[in-house]
Amino acid sequence: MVKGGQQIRLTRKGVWAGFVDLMPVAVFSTPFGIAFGAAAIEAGISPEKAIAMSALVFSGAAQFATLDFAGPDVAWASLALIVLAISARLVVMGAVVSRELNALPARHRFPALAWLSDPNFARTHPKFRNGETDVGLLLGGGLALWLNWVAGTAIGALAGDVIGNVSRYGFDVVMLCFFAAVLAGEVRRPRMALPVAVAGLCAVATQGLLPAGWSVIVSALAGAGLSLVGRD
Amino acid sequence: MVAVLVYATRAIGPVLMAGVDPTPRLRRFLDTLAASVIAAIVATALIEAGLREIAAAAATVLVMVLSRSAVWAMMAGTAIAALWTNIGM
Repeated sequence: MVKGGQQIRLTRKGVWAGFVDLMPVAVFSTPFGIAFGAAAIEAGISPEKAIAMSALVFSGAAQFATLDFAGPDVAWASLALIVLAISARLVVMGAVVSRELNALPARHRFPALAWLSDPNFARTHPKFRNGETDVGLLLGGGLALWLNWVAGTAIGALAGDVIGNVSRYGFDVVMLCFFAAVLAGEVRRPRMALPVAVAGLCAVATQGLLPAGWSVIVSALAGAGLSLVGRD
Repeated sequence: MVAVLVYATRAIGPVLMAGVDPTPRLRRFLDTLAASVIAAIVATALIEAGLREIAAAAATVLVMVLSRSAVWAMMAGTAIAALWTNIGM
């Protein structure tokens, strides 16, 4: 597909640029990984399994939720539902960047999707909107996050008790701050202010009424629904 | 199994959209959806959190608005959270 005269593509240069661009943010997923690794050990999961899980699943929220199910009798159906609900936002993010992704050949599309995550999505989506055509940025950012996440998990699983509580360094709020910063950037566009406010309030209102992942989806749809109201 | 499920949610969005011709209206919807998802994630995190996290997020937004630099904004938010814990509030 052609956008702004340029073919949508995935280049090694783009992957590297995305990797370098997101690295300052991604290093903070190391302390997250440490927290997960330590929590996994506490839940009775072996270090090798914890590391393999981070490498394959690559989703902090889904993995932390999974730890609640660790034990001799796993309630697979409940686990599956919770993981799906928590990950449902990935469906939305995938749909948002689908124009770029579907223009790629399958051998590029599926790796790019495997490393799709909230921070590299939040960073790359505004660039696509401004005419960026190299999906490598998305994949590179994902690889930077993944590397730190897996390395952090390994440190936490093998040496968690040496490091202690990550909240002493403020590492536990890094992702929250990252999303808050992205949001503050988005709201500068006037037509975003109302949907963002509605989505935020809706998430507050549905908290406790809906399971965690679902309240995010419903709230996001409520906010985005506003874009359909009014003049074209 | 968790890995397969999470990958499936990653892949399903573009697959669903493959047959759809994106009109300006749909594009605007998806664009707003992206910001709304992040808003909902932040709001959810903030209700579950305490004053410390709210202070950190507020500092981040303030510095982002003033400096327009996401890196400075995040460092401000993280620093507030670290200070808060170490002062023992």
